[in-house]
Amino acid sequence: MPNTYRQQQPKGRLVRPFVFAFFTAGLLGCTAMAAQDSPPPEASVQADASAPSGRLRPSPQLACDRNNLTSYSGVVSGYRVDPDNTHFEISTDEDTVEALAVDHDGQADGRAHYLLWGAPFTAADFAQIEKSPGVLIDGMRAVAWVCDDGKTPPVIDWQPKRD
Amino acid sequence: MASYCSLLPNFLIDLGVFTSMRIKLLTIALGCALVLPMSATATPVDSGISNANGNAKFLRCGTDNPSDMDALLREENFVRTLMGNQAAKGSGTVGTNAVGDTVINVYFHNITNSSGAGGATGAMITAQMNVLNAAYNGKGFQFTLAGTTTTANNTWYTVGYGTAAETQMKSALRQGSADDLNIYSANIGGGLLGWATFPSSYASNPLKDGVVVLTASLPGGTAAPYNLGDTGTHEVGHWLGLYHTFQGGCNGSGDYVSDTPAEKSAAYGCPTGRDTCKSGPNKAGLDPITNFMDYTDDQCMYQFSAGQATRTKDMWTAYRAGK
Repeated sequence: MPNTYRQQQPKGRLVRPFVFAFFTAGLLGCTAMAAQDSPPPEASVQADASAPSGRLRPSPQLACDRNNLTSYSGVVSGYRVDPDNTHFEISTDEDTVEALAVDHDGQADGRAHYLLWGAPFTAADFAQIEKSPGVLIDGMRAVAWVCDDGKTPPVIDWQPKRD
Repeated sequence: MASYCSLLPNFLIDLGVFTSMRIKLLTIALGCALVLPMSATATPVDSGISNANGNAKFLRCGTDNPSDMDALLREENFVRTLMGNQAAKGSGTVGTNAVGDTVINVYFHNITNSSGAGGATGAMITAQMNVLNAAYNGKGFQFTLAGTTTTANNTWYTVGYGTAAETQMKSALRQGSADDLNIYSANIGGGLLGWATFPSSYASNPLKDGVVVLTASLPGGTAAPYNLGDTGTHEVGHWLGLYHTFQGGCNGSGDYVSDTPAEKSAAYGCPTGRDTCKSGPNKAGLDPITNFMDYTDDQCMYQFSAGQATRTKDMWTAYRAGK
């Protein structure tokens, strides 16, 4: 399997040297703006098309007792498929970044630990989440269901955009 | 900047940091001086990496997240708008009851399939209104049913978040202005019980404003243990400006309410004694699993905090009253 890690913002490194220039300009030019009335902000992160602010219901497919369950919902900002595990980074709707690895010893991928919109995940479903093997479609969302009972592995519920 | 993630592979760290930097620069370019010092010095409070499941190697990292900055910006704008509106004093509300609560008109949109089946009954709608009024009793808001529509439409019946169906449905059915609550009840899928828009989003997208809930989550519905109507309560909380109690995890400003203890992640069921934040601001206290803005079972959640009540009133003044 390819050892690929997709970086959502590959040009990010280029902007770093300009931080202090912007910092200075911002301090000089924006203090006055802060004192003025301004219109309400644009749609918030939670309210835009990619990040619902709602309430989740655990899929019946999950084996974990609800009292031991938690979830991390958001954009999958990192994804790397290794021979025995798959690594994820999720930029959550709650402004945290979570890292997760799903073990799949002896299997080519983690599909046994995946769902698609709460339903069982099949090999054909990779076409809905990857643009090429090991590379996710941009902006792919998922819910990571994590059980703290010490035995139940996590489940990734993929949530590709639908219309 | 990312050294606190030392137990994570470097590739994971780099991605989060550089994404963060890009968004911070956008923030700066927009002229937000108050945020700049924070972006330059942001340090996570929770440096620990927890292992929620040893088998799964689930790690949590206190990486500085760009959305934190966005949230700070939104809060700054909220305070500024609130102060401006309070000074104006002219923007009245839709009305108040005898005890001074704001009375909010509710337009309930009942979506069925094309055969007319699968919708909410009148009793369920009435019961949902009662649940809302009980939950917000003493918190400054009362809800009155101003109108009900019923629409048979297979596409809208299974509406999903951010879809064309959602846009079409709301464009066709939404009534009132910023201070009117539109509730859409449908057979939504994708594991969502409901979703809502925030007050600050109204100005940029008024037609999208409102709350969508799973019909089976209404009182008497079939979505046990989520069928006592508290999905409606939760979503209206968002509509009034509340975040989840686990917003921001253990770090940062959390849900911007000081009397809701920080919570690392969503709670399900009713895990009494759960305490997931051992460090960070607002760590004191058990997780607020009985709060309406968590994800616990309906029978487990029964309260808003005083701080949340204050925030909703302020949000109302800033973004909805008389708008």
